[in-house]
Amino acid sequence: LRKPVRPEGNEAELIARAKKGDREAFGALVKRYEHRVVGVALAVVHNQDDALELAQETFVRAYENLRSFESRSSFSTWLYRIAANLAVDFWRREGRHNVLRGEDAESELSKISNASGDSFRVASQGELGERLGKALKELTPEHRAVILLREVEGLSYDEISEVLQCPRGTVMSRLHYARNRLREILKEFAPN
Amino acid sequence: MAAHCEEIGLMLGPFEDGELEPHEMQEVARHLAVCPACERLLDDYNLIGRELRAEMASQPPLEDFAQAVAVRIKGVKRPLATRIAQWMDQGVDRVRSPIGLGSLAAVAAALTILIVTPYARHHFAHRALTAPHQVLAVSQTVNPAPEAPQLVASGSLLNSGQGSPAVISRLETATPSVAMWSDPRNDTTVIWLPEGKQ
Repeated sequence: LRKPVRPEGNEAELIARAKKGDREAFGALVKRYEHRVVGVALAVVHNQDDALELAQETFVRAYENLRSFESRSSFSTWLYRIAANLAVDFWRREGRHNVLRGEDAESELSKISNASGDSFRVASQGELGERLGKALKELTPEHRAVILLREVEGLSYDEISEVLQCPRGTVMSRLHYARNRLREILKEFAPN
Repeated sequence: MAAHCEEIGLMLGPFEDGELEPHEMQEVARHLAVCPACERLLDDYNLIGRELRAEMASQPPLEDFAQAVAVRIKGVKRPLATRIAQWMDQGVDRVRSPIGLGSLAAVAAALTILIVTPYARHHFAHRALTAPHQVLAVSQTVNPAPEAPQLVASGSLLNSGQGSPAVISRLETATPSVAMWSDPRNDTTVIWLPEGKQ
């Protein structure tokens, strides 16, 4: 079982300095989290250019509001939350998707077909990555965000709940749906 | 899929993620030992996770991203409240330094002198007026003015006739030409000049 990724080192000191307006210290924090923040934005919008723009905006907002960060959550969770909020707002603004509410997500379990059956591993491993990329596009932003935050960023269910501001139960149901939906899509893509 | 498999199927993801209670982990592990279908499903979840990590790791490197952020935050004007709080924080840091502490002590001393000195002067001057002084070298009765209290004894306090003694604070000569006393009860100082001296 994997443990969530935890930054080490002098993060608290960097945050304290950045709070006092030290841009160099904030730059070090940007370096430390740029990939993950882009990853969170990418999980929602699934477009590299949009994700980069949103990630930049995330860091600018973080810098502007750094004083409101009170260490109740980890700095990374706080950053991810800003990034997720911006990305979901962006998605709504663009009118690309009707964002699902938590209660709607609860009913998603019924949409999942029988999770048993043949494994999707009928193609070569080389093809799998490509098919997975396509399958991710088929997911809603909420489901993509949940599964990428869990599988790629290694966040716990509670942390995902905090980042996406939805109940832990919703995280669990979305994750269950996303895994099985990906599995189904991968099977659909599989050559006969 | 058996009914028990459906129930276990809901727990396979959290099992993979280590988010189940210990007794649930045991329950799922026992089931997996005897159910190849659920074991296959768990393997698929595991493979999806590995492939997702590989997929995201293959994203292009972020060239100049931090630099672009640095340019953007250079132009950021933080909210006034934030700037005030930041300024105060920096002030506290300055005060914590040895030079800052020395400066603070100097300012405090200067303020103390400025504020306390006039008060101290007034206080001690008032005490000087109200403290009972012994009358020196009074050897004869002075003819007082009609309104003035009677001088009665050498080295004693004068009585203004209303219970509170008036105090002769100063006599210049054995035959005084000027007498001065104060009445603390009325916060009054009286200067008495004999007839012909006015």
